[in-house]
Amino acid sequence: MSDETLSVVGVAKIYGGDGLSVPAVREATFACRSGTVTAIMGPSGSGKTTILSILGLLLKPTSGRVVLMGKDVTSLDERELPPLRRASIGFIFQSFNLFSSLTVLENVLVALQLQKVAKANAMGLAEAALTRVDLVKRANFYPRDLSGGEKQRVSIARAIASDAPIILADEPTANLDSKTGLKIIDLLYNLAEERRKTVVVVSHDLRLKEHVNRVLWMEDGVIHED
Amino acid sequence: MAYPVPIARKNLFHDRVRFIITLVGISFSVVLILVQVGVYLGMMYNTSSIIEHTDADIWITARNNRNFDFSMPFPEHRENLARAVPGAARTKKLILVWSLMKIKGGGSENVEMVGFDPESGIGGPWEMLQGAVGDVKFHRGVIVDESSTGKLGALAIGDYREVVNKKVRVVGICRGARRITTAPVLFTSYRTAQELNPWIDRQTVFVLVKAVPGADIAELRGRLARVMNLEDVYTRQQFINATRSYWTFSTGMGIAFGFTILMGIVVGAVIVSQTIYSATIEHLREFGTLKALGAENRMIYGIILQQALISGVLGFAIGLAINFAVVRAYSSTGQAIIQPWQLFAADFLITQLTCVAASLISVRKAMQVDPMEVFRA
Repeated sequence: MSDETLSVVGVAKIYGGDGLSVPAVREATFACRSGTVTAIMGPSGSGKTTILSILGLLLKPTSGRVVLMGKDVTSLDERELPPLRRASIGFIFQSFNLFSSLTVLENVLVALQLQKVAKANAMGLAEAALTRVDLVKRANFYPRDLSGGEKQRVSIARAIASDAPIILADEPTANLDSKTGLKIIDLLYNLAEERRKTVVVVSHDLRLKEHVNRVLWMEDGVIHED
Repeated sequence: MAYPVPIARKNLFHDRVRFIITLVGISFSVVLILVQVGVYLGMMYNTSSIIEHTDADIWITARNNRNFDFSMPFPEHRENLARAVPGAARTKKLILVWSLMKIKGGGSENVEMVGFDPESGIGGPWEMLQGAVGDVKFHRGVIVDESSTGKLGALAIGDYREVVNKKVRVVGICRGARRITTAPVLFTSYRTAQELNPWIDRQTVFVLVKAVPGADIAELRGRLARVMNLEDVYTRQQFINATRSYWTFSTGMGIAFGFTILMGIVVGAVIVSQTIYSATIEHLREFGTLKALGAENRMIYGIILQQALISGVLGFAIGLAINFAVVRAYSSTGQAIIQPWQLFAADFLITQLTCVAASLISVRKAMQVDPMEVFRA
């Protein structure tokens, strides 16, 4: 199998209709490889989140193709996409998106639960993921008791627990101080390198450039190599 | 550690204040429904308790009579016609007449006087606390229900009172003969009832017919109706239904109870739907995250539904406990409240259906959540 786990070919996304159309992404073509961290950078409103949503199979492009693990998934219907997301993609969110009523461990277990992982395995996988992000001691804490950096590490643990080959991170350092932010990026970089994950990070934080394998610059919906 | 993670339960218990408000709303609704229906059934039982405890298959009354308590008299010799109808094993006359009893210390009280045949005891009291049913044969004997003491004052066997200026003697105390009219019931012999109320001399109010064993009651009623063409003829159940129907629909009581019960359901539904809806809105981002992580819509639906059902079951349990306390307090006042198991089953079902219906609005909102929302800061 090729190293290209996720790619888009000639993808465009136009919002609106009836004479009022706003192009958010224009003819984007690029591929992301396993074992690497790809950063999509650009100013606010440049279309970064839209392209991330397309990569995450949360949004259908207006035109073009999305290829996941060698398979064209552009035309799959709404019922076919959730299992594909569960199996292939882990998400990391700018606002962490943790479940406030669940403990750290339970937040990680939810991802495994969605994959229907048996209890005997789930507990071990969740603990391993928390160990990876150095949060085992906080397993029974609730999100409200964690710092921003810790919350983001829980989000990462949730994304890696199920061993999805692709990790999509939306502004993972935006709500963190610079030191914690860089630690998070290093963590993602190590994950990509050690566990052959395909990591795509969307960010407008220019400091990330030095810590990723590849940078794609996006402006007014147009994407190009930096 | 529970696995799968019980997201619904954790969501509910996480916000305790909201959860308590939900439970208060549901249990209030449960108590309102159970108590109102129980009181209504108790009242309905009171309307028909004498009919139910009288050993008769057919009740013959004056024409256009609509209930037990306000029945008009008709000539007692008409009983002979009924007795001659094939299938009638025996007939008895029964009087129900409104009268006035003087009470100790002055004043008088309306009473419902029931004049029955003391030899057979048919139409008489069915649970004696003191004295015997047959004692009404002597000294214008009357039997009063224990619940009468509130209106008639303390009464004991051997006490004398006046009914329409004639002395009667208390010969027994019975239980369970309570009327919806709240008037005390005085049981006496058929003849004493006529003697005390001379305007019904040689008249009866009911003729009670007992069918021969194995007889078709509906057919017997038809035969009697043809013969007793100046009166109305009811089977026992028909007369119970007619009496209950009168009190339910002709007095507005049914509408009042129905409205209160409906309010109970509406209040419960509004509180549950409001709290579940606000909880859903609060967790909307989390539902979006679940969808982004690959959850199908039915999982989200399941979480919201579970929240509704957990609230419904716990709210019902609390409401049930409060209901039993209310019933105990209410019963201690001497009023009847009847709550058969079917009432509990029906209310449980209503509560759960209300909760499920209330959650549907929230489900709709959660289904509409755009997974892309998860990327918004």
